[in-house]
Amino acid sequence: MSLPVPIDLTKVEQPKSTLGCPILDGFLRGGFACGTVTELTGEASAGKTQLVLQSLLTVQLPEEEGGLAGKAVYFYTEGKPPVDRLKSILENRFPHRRDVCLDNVLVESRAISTPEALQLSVRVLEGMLEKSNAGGAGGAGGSNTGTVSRARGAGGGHRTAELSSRPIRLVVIDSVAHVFRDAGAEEAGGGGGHDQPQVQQWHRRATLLFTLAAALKRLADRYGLAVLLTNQIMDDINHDTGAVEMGLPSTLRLHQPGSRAAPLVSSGRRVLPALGLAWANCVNTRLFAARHEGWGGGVIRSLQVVFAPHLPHSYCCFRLDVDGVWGVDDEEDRQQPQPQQPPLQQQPLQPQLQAQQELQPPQHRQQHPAGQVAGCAGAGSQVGLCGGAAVWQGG
Amino acid sequence: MHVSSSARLEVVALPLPPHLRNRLLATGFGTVADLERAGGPMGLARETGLSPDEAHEVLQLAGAAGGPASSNWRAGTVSAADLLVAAAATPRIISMARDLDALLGGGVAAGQVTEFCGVPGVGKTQLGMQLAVNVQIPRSLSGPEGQAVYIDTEGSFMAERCADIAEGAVRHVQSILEKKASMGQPELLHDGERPFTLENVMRGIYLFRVHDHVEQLGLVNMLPRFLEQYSQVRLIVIDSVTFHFRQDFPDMAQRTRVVTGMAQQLISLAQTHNVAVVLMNQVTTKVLEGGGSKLVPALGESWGHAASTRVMLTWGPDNERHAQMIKSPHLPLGDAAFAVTADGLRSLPRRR
Repeated sequence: MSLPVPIDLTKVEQPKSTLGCPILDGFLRGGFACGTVTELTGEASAGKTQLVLQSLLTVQLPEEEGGLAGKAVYFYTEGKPPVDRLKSILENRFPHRRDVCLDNVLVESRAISTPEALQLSVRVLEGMLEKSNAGGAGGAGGSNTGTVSRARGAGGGHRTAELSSRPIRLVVIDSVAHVFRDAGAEEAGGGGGHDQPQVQQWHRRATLLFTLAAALKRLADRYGLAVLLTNQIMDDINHDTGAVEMGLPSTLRLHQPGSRAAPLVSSGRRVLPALGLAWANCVNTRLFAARHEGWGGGVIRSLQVVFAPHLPHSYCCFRLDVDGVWGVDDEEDRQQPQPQQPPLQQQPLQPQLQAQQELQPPQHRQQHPAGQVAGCAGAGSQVGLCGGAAVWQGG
Repeated sequence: MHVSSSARLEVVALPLPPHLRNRLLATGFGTVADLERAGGPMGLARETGLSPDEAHEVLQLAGAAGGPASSNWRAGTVSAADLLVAAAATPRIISMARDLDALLGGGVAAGQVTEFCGVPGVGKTQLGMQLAVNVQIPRSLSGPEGQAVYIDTEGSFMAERCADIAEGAVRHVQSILEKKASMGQPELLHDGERPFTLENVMRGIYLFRVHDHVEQLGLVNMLPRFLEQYSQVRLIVIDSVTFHFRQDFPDMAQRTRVVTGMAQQLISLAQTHNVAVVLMNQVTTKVLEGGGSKLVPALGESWGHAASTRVMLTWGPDNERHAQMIKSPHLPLGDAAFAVTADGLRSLPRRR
């Protein structure tokens, strides 16, 4: 047997599926990362589906506009897919464009209401990918050849070809929670069936979730897909929200970069993503969309990084419009006072241990780029600094 | 008298807990040869004020455990003590978070398996990438100057983030070299030393992506041969070792057998090739008898023997990241806070 060949990191590029908005793309370091699974969680009215619908269109944008010139596959599990809304975003955001159209959004027509049905759909998806993305560099099959070189081959070079020959680059399941809500009791709700001990039900559901996630990750890597899943929330019964605030929650605004992610608050309630800890282990990046009551009856929406291998704990505000979702440069929050920087103390070097210690970098200093403390940095700002966090979230 | 080549080895290079090391240095024991002349554990205990147990541990680690064999090593054979010294001679891999490194006895050690467990987002992948970069720190700066194998089972290894961390480390190393130069210590490049640059660091990480447990086991099987060809490799990271073993398994007894076999292979790999094996593990909720629950490392009780050193990464009450030593052959159990910055792992500012 020949030795396995490692991926050459100097040649790897990891494309992103753009959201078609410089502020949101800046916040997400380019969009949803191909080759990985991104979860978007939040309450029903937070704007999850709007973000999802928009990304189904923006993945079709040509590479010059930050897109992947790809097609999207949309699994909608909560009834009738909101195609009307999709059409409305298309007409208002991309009028008179031929390269962004509904034909490039493949909507699963079967009803998906059980984990088994979803597994079947993922298998069907694999068959579609084998056909549609077969032109990709290196073809399908064989492991360890690297996400990205293959993905690039699939994306580039075909721009003059027929639209129908576009590769699939984005897969959305909206929502995963809806499919799995009956497969094992909710950890917090506790109301499972009677014939099975609750622990066994959790275990069964966890196994199904891990199996689904592994299948999606394999396809994401093999075909250079961005996989976007939505999830619901449940009330965090262990934490009192305290007084309901107007505007962005202070916990989010005044969050210390580098520290634990700010608690998830939406509509004044402390919430947790559904499906529990097992599912949290299945996704690469977790984003949280929330809505907050603003002054004067308005609504403020925020998108927060809960964890991601490549993004700091940070947040970005956004608004919904007839032409979809736009990131917001939040003037009001920029004027919030900066948190105090802890004093940096010099550590005297112990001579004996110098060899080891001098390799130690200076202690982490809380960094607050001026003017970006809690606001959503503008379009031209440094990537990833939105929300003022120059500190990173571990994956 | 035959003086072993290891006798000139510095005490600072031994994998000792900081308090033992400091005591030895403070009482004038600078090299392994000094320890060998101390007159056994009791003599060393008398001279240093260490407890006899501690003195015994020191001598064992120094390969001079006081038995007759140690003073009369036979040429041509390798004693267990020699192996220990060889392991000690391989510099530890630092995380660049000072307190975390102190907790680990100076960094992650070669020749053994170290496991880090924690919830999603607490920094397992960040730590894995940081170690894969830091294992390449040049020997002129007391680094291991090795390379890394990174086995990504979850798809969370992101090259752009790894490049951020590598850039942070390269910048830091550069600033040390500049400081040394300004203090009149010219940079002493070893022969054939690879320059510590972003490109070299990225080349020095051999990334593999595995999609199921069969691929994972197959790759672990191939590692001994891979290491023979790529002898620079001093670190193997599996991130996470868990993910593909939490899916549909025909029966749990089979899973236990497979996982135990993999653990054996990794332990033997660490020892025979003198590499550091770092395993990232997930955590799971364990329902306690009598109600309540707590977070425990995944993969069950028998997996607990896989790693000789086990560290739990958690969010502390101060909302900072903490590392808790929960299992170690000779290091004290303890706790260290650390931060993940744009440049990678760093220690937190000290509080007054």
